[in-house]
Amino acid sequence: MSDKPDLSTGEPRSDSSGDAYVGLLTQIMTQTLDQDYLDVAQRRESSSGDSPPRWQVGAVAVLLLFGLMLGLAALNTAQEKPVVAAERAELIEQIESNQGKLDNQQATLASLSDEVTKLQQLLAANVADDRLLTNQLTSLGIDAGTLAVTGPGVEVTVDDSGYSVGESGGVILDSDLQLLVNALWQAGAEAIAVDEHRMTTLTAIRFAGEAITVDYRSLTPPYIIEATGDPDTMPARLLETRAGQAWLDLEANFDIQFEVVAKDKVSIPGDARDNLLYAEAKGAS
Amino acid sequence: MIAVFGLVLGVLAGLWLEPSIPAALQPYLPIAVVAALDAVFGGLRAHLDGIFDDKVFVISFVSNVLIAALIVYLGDQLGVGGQLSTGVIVVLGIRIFSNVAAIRRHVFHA
Amino acid sequence: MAVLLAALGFAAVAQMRLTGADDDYSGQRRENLIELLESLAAAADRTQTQIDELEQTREELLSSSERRQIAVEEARQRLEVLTVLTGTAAAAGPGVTITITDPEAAVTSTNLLNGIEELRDAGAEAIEMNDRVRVVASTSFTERDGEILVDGVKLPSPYSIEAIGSSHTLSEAVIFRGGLADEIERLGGKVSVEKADLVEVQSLHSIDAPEYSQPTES
Repeated sequence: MSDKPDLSTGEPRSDSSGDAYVGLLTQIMTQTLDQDYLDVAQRRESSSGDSPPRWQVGAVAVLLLFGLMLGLAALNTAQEKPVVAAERAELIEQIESNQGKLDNQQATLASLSDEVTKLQQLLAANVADDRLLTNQLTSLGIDAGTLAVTGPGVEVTVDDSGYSVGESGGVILDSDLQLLVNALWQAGAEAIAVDEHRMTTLTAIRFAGEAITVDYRSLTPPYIIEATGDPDTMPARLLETRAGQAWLDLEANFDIQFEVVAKDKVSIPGDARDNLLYAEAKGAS
Repeated sequence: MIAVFGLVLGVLAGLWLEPSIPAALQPYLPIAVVAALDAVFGGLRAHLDGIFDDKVFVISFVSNVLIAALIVYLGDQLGVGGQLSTGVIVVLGIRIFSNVAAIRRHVFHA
Repeated sequence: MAVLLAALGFAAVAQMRLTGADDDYSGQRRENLIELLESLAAAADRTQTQIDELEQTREELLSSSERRQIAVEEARQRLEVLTVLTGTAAAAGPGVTITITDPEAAVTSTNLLNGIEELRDAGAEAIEMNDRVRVVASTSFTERDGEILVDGVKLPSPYSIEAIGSSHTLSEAVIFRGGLADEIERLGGKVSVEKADLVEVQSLHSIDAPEYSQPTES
């Protein structure tokens, strides 16, 4: 390998030039020296003599340039390194802080979602409770008379006789109406109104001055009493009561109007009063 | 000897003067340096083989640098600049390796 | 040779250490890092949107739950009043205890009904008779074989009436001229009224679900 012909990298190339195909890698590995050096060297052997001095200067200049490039490249890289590293560090820092933020958000999201689910379940459960409460309010409201009701029932119309006021017997008294309402309850009424005044546990039928008052309001005859209940049995049951008998007597003897009519539908107003001043409930029903 | 002196002078000048390279050329400097390195080692080996020629050296140096830069530029335009510069560096690296191996054989006779 | 191999081993281990010790991002290129950052930001945006939506939902749920709480509170108060009015709960409050003796058995259900109406007129809120029968709107007074039945329950004399309301107004209502006291005394009985700061009405009226009455649709 010490003599020139052996060293020449041109030999494998001249061999391979005959070949149809030489692997690219093989070519790269073997042909590492510029062919030109060999060509020039062969030419020089025949003509002899050194290359002209201007090319020598060129070679030095090129080396100078190379040195310059080397220095610059080194300098550049050295300058860029901290910048690149800093940028990278900043990037990583941002990524990590974003990661942390996202983790926090996801934790918040999870707890929020939990809370919302619980609230929804609570509300759903409440809806059932509320329905129960509403049903209770409704059925108690009907019984207490605070809710207006509609249903089949009877309508009783009573009126004073044509006799002049003051003539005994011909005028309906508060006790007559009390007994009539009492008899209607007895006959199975569920709700009763006298001249559109709902009968509640607080409602009194009284006589004040010259007029009957219901719920502190004066009424004038004829009085219309409406009651919900079984329209088929109520009229008969009403007339069987002692009050019913008494009213029939009144009708027969004093020409007082007493008319009981079964109705498919009667509307009974509610009495909105539902606050108590003195009584307090002890224990729920 | 003059050549080595020129090289050292160039490095020092580069470090000292810190001439600013246009930003457009900056990405091509490292690849140009590697290409130049290939030419320099090729020249060194030729020198040791006794077939060194200044003209060939100058031409191979300049063309190496230009072609390497051109290939990478082309790669950048095609969107494969990173991969292409890797390829160029692999090829040049192999050449540098074998040239350095030849130089080593000359220097250490082994 | 041994030195060379030792150096190789040392270098290999050192490099492995270095790689292992570095963070998760050491192998990542800058572009990948930027991409990661962007996808993180997008994920954070999406999550924030979800959080905002959920927070709104929560606010709505909370406010509706709060509104419901108020409504339920009102409903419970009304329910409490209704239980007293319907006689389905025991009640307590100031009022009077009226005792009616009837040695001649002359007192009729009409007299008692009239007395109850007088008490209602005087603002009685809860009434109980003989500690046994709660008097509500639908309570009926009847007679059978000379005995008085209230809501179908036989009540022997002496009769006692407990009423909750203004004790003064209630006692006035009983003893005013021509009132219950006069009437009973006319029948040979005796009426005594006792005012009390606390009257307890214990007996309950049980209600059946109405069969014929529907709440009027408003």
